[in-house]
Amino acid sequence: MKSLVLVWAALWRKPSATLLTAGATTAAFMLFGLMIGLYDAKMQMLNAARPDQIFVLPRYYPQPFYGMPIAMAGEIERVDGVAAVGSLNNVNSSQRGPGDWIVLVNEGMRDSRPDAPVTPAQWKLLFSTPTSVLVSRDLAKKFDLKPGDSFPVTTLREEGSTTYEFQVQAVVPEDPQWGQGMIWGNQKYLDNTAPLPMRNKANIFWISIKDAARATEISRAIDLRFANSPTPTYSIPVKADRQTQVSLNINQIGVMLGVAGAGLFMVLFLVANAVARSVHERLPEFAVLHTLGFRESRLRRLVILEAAFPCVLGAMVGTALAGILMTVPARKLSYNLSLLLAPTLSSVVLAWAIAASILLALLSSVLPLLKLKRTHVADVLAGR
Amino acid sequence: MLLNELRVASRVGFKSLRQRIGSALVIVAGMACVVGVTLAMLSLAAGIARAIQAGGDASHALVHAAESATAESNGLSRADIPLILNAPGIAVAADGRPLASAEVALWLPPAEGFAEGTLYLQGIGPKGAAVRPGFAIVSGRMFRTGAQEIIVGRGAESVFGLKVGSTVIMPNGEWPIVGEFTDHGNAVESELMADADTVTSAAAIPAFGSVLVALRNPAAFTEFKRWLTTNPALAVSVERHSDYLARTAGSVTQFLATLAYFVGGLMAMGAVFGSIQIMYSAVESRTIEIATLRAVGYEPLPIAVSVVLEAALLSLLGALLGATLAWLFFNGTQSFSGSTVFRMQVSGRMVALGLVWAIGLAIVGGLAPAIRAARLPVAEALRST
Amino acid sequence: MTAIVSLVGVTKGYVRGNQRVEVLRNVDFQVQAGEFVVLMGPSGSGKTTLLNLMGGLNKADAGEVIVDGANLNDLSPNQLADWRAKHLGFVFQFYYLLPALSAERNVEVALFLTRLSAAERRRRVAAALDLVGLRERARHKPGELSGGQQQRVAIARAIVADPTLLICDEPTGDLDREASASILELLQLLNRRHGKTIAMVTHDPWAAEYASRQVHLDKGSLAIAPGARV
Repeated sequence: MKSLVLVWAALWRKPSATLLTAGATTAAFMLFGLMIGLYDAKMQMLNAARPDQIFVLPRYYPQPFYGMPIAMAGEIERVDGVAAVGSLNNVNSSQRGPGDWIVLVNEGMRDSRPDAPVTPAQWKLLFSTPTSVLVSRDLAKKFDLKPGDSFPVTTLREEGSTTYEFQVQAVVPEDPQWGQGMIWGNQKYLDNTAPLPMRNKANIFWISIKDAARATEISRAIDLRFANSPTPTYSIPVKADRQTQVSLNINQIGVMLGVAGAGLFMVLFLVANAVARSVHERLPEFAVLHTLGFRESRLRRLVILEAAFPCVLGAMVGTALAGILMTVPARKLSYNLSLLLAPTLSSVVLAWAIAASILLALLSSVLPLLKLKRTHVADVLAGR
Repeated sequence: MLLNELRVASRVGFKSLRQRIGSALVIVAGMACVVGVTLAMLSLAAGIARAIQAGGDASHALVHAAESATAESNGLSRADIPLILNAPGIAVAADGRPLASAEVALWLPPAEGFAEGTLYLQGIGPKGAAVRPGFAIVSGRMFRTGAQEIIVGRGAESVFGLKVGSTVIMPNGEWPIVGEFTDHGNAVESELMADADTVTSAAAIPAFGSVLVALRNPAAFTEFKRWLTTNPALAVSVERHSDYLARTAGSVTQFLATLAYFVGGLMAMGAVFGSIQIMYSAVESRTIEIATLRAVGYEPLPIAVSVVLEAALLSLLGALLGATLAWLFFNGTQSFSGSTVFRMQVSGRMVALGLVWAIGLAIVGGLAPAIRAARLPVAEALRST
Repeated sequence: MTAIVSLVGVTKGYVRGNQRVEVLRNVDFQVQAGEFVVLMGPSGSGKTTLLNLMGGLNKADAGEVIVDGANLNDLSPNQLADWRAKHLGFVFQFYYLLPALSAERNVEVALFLTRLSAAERRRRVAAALDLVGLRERARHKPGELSGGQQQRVAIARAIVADPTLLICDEPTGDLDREASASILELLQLLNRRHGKTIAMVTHDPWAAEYASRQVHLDKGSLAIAPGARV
């Protein structure tokens, strides 16, 4: 605590230099926060992926006849090791809004997604009326939706557009396996009202299996069963699919970590230079502290703390700014951005930032500390 | 007169640079990071854009269903095709038939043992090869019309490991890969090709995605388009092939370019803070030097300009270093995004952009310190020695 | 009287370039408790080197340096640092105050290594500033003080931990005659009224007059001042 007075004195010796260094580290950590936020979002999604679940997709796109018949679910269930089968169906909205997120699910999802953040009562609500939807918190906030609200979605199909009216039954927590905001509707709605070819169709079956170790084997068995059907399937364990998502579209992890690292690398020189200058200019001060009885280890600590201040400050402010930036509706920046990226500002990101800032401070202090070690107090005091 | 003073002031400044080499290198390194990272990210966008756009020209046109924005959603019915081929302005092949190819798109699951990326198979018509001027078989042979055979683009061959002689699982069994093709190094090389009619029947696709047409000449496009879009029996969009490719490339690369500029902007912000600080300390350590120049009658302006000049030259050096590193490491590096295999590209224009950017940042970073240098109280500075 | 400082057969040299320069040669020297000794001599005579040996900032090549019972040659760097905190106060030609801190904070820095409570530290700082006549200026930063006042703050910093020995290296070297006189009078006061033992280096015979004993150094050896004890 008492040392902080000295660190403070060192920092405010040249306030503009300290603030400029902090400004530079803030910019670097804003970048760092965003990149690690993205990385963290990817990793969260990857870690949330259940090893005992499988996606069953149409093997070829375009899918004939608007997707796979939901009746396939019964056949999938008969494959050895399959526990439950749920179906999902996209609603191709023609306008931007909640419709972009809406996915219709059938009652099978209740059993195939026991991990979904939906209570039995909410499932019941969803399937009690065809127009029901469950909205996750983020999207409820984004589109200002609350239970009881309704919104229209106009779909774009070759038969012409149809407008459906959906009613929010409940707001549910985010599903970690979904990765971004979700709106789940009731498949029955489409089955009752859509043009005939579009009824009873699924884009994906989300299935759960009894033994996670057999995921690959069961995927193959499902594909084999439908190999000669009009709708061959491509089954992939959820875990493997998420892994593919992470590495798809250019080595995203590499780009994120590379960019985050480059930002830090840039400010490393800057902070190191600032600390070196400060130590150089204050050698007499260190000499005086030495004569007052400060041990070398204590002086070293002062230098590191002095370096750490703009780094940690920059890390905290930068991460906070990154956090604010993440909450800006990304749609305003770019529609692509809002669909592809959903960075998170979790304690993990903050911890990474703080750890990186301390590492930065330590690295920046190496050369100045060596200089301090080589300096002889008597020489400094004698003006040599 | 002022120019002469600027020359001397700059020379004096650069001579003392050796004593300030550490901080000078910080500006160089900072700018190298900014320009290097920005160019590296832009090289992704440029690489994808080039891969998509290569080979597109104004004398070809693409027809697809009016409501689908791309050729990848198969929206043209079988009955539409003969109507489209009747349009005026289509070049005629040696056999007297129109030089046009009705094509169909099919997305396949990733190749066995290769979980990343999606395979894109393009079913092409009998004139599919002739309508692509850059198309060439480089090994093996062309697929035979009506046969369940596939040819593979060079990019897909190298990235997805699909060799001539291996097979691809198709809707009705395995099809052999019989040849490897190139086409201007463009995105088509990331794809597989097969006979369109064989693909549509095997995959039970009732429609085509697009018709690629060679026009008699670029000017024929207007009439070709007018004829098709005013035909009440058709609901199609018509674009020059080059325009279509530019549009689809734009939607893919816009995101990457936005990201590159965003990242570059943030890094530049950090670098500017850094340059301001370093140039301030440079002015501070040159106090006596600057005061002496002022004392012997130098105007403040050339001194201020010499400070900005120093920042600009150091930044330029850094930008050159960053651009060189980006070029060395990323230019020509093969990468892929989704189903598009491409080579990252660091172009001369991008490098020039980086250099201009660096100079701009240097001016921003050097301005305040330059003003301080110009306003230095001469007598006080000299007395403090 | 007991000797607070005792140097026996001390030799000290430096390597400059590839030449060894012997600064002190076989010096025997004592400072008695309560003395105000001034070390004089031309540049390079070894005055400051002698002072630094007494302060434990340098180690002797040969001989013994015993200060307040401790043989400084035997102490590790950390032990030396702890020892300095308890026993020594330094005053330099340039005051080396921390520009961002007020006068009282600058003085308090010397107490940061003690276990004193904040209230006790404040009390001692106030007393030290009172002693050097700067109580009203306690909140001022060094930049707002004159050279003489800054040196007074430095002296307050040197005495606040109540050291056994006060080591002053050219404390008036950067001050005009008037300010110098007041600093020297202050040192004299600390010596006479508060019993502080002081060893001071100066090249100014006028300043030396304030001391109770003058010792002259020449080419690394002691030259006894007329009528003085060594």
